[in-house]
Amino acid sequence: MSMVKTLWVLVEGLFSKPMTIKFPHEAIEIPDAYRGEHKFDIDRCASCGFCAEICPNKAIEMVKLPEQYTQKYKKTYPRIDLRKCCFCALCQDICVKKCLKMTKNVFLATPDPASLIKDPMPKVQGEE
Amino acid sequence: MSGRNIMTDQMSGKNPTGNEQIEPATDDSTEYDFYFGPAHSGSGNFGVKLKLDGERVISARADPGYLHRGFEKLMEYRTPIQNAVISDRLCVLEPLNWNLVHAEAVDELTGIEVPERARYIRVLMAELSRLQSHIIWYGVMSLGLGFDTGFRLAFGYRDYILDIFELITGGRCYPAGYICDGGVRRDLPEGYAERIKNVLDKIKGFMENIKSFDNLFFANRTKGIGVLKLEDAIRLGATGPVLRASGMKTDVRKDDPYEIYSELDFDVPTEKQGDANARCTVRDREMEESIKIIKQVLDRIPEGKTRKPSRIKRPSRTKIPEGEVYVRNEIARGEACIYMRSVGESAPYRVKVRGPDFLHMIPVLEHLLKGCELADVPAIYWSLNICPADMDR
Ligand code: SF4
Ligand code: SF4
Repeated sequence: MSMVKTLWVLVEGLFSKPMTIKFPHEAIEIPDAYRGEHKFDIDRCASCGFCAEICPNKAIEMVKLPEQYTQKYKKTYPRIDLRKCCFCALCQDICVKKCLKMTKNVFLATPDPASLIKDPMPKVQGEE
Repeated sequence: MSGRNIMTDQMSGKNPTGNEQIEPATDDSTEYDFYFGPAHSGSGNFGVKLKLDGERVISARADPGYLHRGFEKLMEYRTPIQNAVISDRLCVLEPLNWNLVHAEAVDELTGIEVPERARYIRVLMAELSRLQSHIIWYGVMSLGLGFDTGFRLAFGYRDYILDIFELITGGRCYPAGYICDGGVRRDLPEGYAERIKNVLDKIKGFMENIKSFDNLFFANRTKGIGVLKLEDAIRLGATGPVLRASGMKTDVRKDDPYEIYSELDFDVPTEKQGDANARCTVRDREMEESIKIIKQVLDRIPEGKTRKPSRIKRPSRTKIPEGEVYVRNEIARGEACIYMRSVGESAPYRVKVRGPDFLHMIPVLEHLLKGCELADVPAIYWSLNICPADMDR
């Protein structure tokens, strides 16, 4: 009897919808709470440095901006090294100004590791 | 290059990496050494050195240490909220349960009253984690027995639970210290109860399916194999499902209840035979109990705050009151314990982790493998549901 039942389960499997999807043509929906790549809004940042202090991996360093921006942005701002980051979102949670947010972007694999260092930069025009 | 000639060393029977002498095999000898692991999909990052006579295991020696990451030391330099993130990594297969043990240790030191809602969320997540861990166990057990279909099914269904984890904690495998000191890091999102109920229905379907496989694949490979008598289980320090499968009715959730477990209605499944099959049956029945618990939690979960204090403190403002605690919880593999001592600084002075697998993977495993057939090694190994992560730490 159990043999028949087992075979039935296996045959059923042949005709049911697969559990996997055809990535990259399809992708599963990523929830809003996801802890992906950071998004930083320099105009709201208070330069308090709490994010750098809480980061368990010391992936955040408070740095000055390049000279052409220092007139408007005089203080230090977080530079995030994603190579060290474990995506714990503690920096997001501690930020009182809510200017450091984690996005749904999971596509971070790259042949160029230097591109994983996210320097604080003023927003380019048109960026929300 | 050193002047030593490895070839000559091997021919002379001398081990080139040490002084140990390898006995040259005689023609009529049927004894040989066999390495199970450490880099094998069926063993995890852990090895067992077996001495075989033909197909029979004469002796087994556990070979741990491949997954040591030094968490205890790392925790001495970090504040509790940062350590909560580290506590994820204590066991890849059930990070939320380890989050909970760590959070409870800190709560006991700080004396913070955890909000009621957070206590329910903690239990909800711990039980989903147990369910998910048992499903992985079913998968690797099937793989160990050569039943690939079971493996694929299990890992497919586990992903439904990971979807829930992703929805609530923001990560599939690692919740990043979702259960932390004072409560949980964020509230449940909208529509969570429906999503969880849907997933539970799917998991029930999975459990129906695996029941039908039992007699065909599991029973004849596991019955009477790796029998652990109750007195041996106690002597060797077995806990959790391994001990319960040998006939002892014990469960930290009942014996020394934490969070809201004393208010919940659930059974502690036990079996008498103590063999690999009994251990599998105990886990199958535990999955049902976990589903029962999750449903009760979903029905009763109150409204309110989820963490006290609601904001994360900066390390320079954090202080753990002086004292020492020892906390134990029931996780999927057995009893998980954390000893924590604080001298009033922002980081604990000492953290000692005692996972259930330390004793399951060394004394219990060595005891059970002695005298068994080589083909039964994976069945015994996985019937213990072991994970080197919490042993090596
Ligand atoms: S990102 Fe937030 S936490 Fe970091 S310095 Fe700016 S305001 Fe402070
Ligand atoms: S997500 Fe965590 S590890 Fe990454 S930068 Fe923020 S605090 Fe540091």
